[in-house]
Amino acid sequence: MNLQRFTQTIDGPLGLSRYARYWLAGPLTLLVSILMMATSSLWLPRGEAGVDNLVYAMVLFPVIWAVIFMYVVLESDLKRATGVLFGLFFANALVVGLSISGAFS
Amino acid sequence: MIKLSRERTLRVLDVHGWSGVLLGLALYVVVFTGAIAVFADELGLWSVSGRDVQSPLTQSIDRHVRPLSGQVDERYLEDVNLFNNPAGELVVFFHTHETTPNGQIEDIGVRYRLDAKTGEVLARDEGYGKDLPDDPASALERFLVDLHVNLHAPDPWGLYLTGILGLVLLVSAISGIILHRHLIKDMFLSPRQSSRALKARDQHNLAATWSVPFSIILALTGAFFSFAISLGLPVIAMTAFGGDQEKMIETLIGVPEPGDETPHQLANLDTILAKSKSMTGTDPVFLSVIHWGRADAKALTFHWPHGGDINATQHQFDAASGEYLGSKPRIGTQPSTGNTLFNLISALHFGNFAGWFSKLIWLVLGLALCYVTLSGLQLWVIRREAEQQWQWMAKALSTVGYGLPFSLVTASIAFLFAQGLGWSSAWPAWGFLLGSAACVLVARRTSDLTSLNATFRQWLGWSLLSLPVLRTLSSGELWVFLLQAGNVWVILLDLTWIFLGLYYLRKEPRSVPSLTEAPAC
Repeated sequence: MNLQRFTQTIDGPLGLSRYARYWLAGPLTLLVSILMMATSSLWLPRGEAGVDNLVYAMVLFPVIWAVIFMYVVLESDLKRATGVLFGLFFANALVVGLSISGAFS
Repeated sequence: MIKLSRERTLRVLDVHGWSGVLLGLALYVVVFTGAIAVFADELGLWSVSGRDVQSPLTQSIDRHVRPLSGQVDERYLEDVNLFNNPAGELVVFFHTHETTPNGQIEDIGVRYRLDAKTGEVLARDEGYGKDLPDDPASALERFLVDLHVNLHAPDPWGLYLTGILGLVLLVSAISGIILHRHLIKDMFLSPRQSSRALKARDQHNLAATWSVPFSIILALTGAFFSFAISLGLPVIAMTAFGGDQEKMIETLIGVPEPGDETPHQLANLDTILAKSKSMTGTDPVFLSVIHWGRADAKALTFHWPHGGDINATQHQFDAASGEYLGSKPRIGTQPSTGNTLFNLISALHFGNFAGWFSKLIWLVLGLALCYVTLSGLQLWVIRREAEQQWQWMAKALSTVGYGLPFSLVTASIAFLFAQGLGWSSAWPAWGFLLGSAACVLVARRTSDLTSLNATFRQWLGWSLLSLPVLRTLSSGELWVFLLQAGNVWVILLDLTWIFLGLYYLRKEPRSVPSLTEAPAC
């Protein structure tokens, strides 16, 4: 890949490597998408049969991934992209953690 | 038309190009095998030269199956599946569900293979479902489908891989839409002849523009099927079911709550299947009996889409009395939007909603997508014609482009040999590997791409022509016998191989001035 276009450094306290966009668009996007799939099954409508939320969550997974991936590719401000992704990561990880601990049951 | 800054456009172009370069050939393998697998049932039928019994589940099977229930461990009566293999033999799997030491829920039980007419037991295997030996009659069909579904990689890694390829296809389609500045205009583009690069780009754009809707459909539905099983279910089980995967699967499948466990004679299976056929007007292709021999036993029949409906249907019966209980959604126990969505995804991915007609359209669209993938890679190579380090890719394009169909043909040849000699069902895989190895070897030894492509075309042509001959020799089934038995699909596929074989032998390969000709898909 054209390294110059994808390897912008994020300055400041984050101190991320020059491959920041790779990390954001690759592993972090995938991780955030998986977490969002997990949490969306909690808030999506269950329907009368109680299965709609499960199907919707799995159907939405590739859509969520594609939206986040394209956002990271198109976003010029890498600090903002980093903030958005880590925000989504922590918010969804918190919900997953709470649901596993039985807080919603 | 989507306007982006130059910097963003270049980033999207990088994503579009590099996703293709890194995973395009693997994507081609999955899409090509998927396009062929649309006709997997018909190919399975062809591989065994048709069958005597066209619809085994509508035969008188109760008298064959009922005695077997007394020969298995009682716990395997919890769930019994009945279906037929390509040879028209009846497969009966008495099983229950157990959690394996590694935490996975697996089917475990006894599987019988019977002659559907006489009830003679042809094979009996016991163990975990995934460990049971492959059905020899299904070996070629299974090989093709597994290559498409998981590239023959172990679970769940194969599913992860094909799921990622689905995401790559999705992002290629989206980035392609962003990059095509004149999406509507490109639908009626006449490829420019002024230079090879322009011509290649126009051809790629033209095919890609028409393929975009199908690409997105295939990418979304394919990624769904790959990730739903391997990733979605375990992840959602953690949040929505407190980690209880069994409970989640029961919710999704819609397993009825345990009721009256009193022993009870099972209703006649032939009557249930006949009722199901009379209600739908089509033959059932699958029967499942839950709680066999109990008062709360239920039977479920499965029918492919019919009568203009794009959905496959399931019908539930009280298996103790034989009473019809109504249609049963594939997801959950009552109609839901989730079930409708699942049916829609299935219909769009498998393309079987209008019989052979929709399957044919899906095959053509799948092959068109192969062309888009290969022409995109060809474009990449043409643009780097002066860079020696990229010339290996032109050869790789030819080798994989022609090598995949050729290796599938050698897998079929190996299957026909193995079938004739009574060998193991692993032979399609060996045939595929031998075909692939031969392609790689000849590619390594040939420096001129024109002669390499000519060689591949000759191989493909002759191997395709050999298929009807080998099939006839291995089975002794001439066309006249096949016609009498109603096995028209076998004849149609024989004719297809002959037509394609002659096409590849007769068509003169284009002269290639440099190492940049891509194969036709």
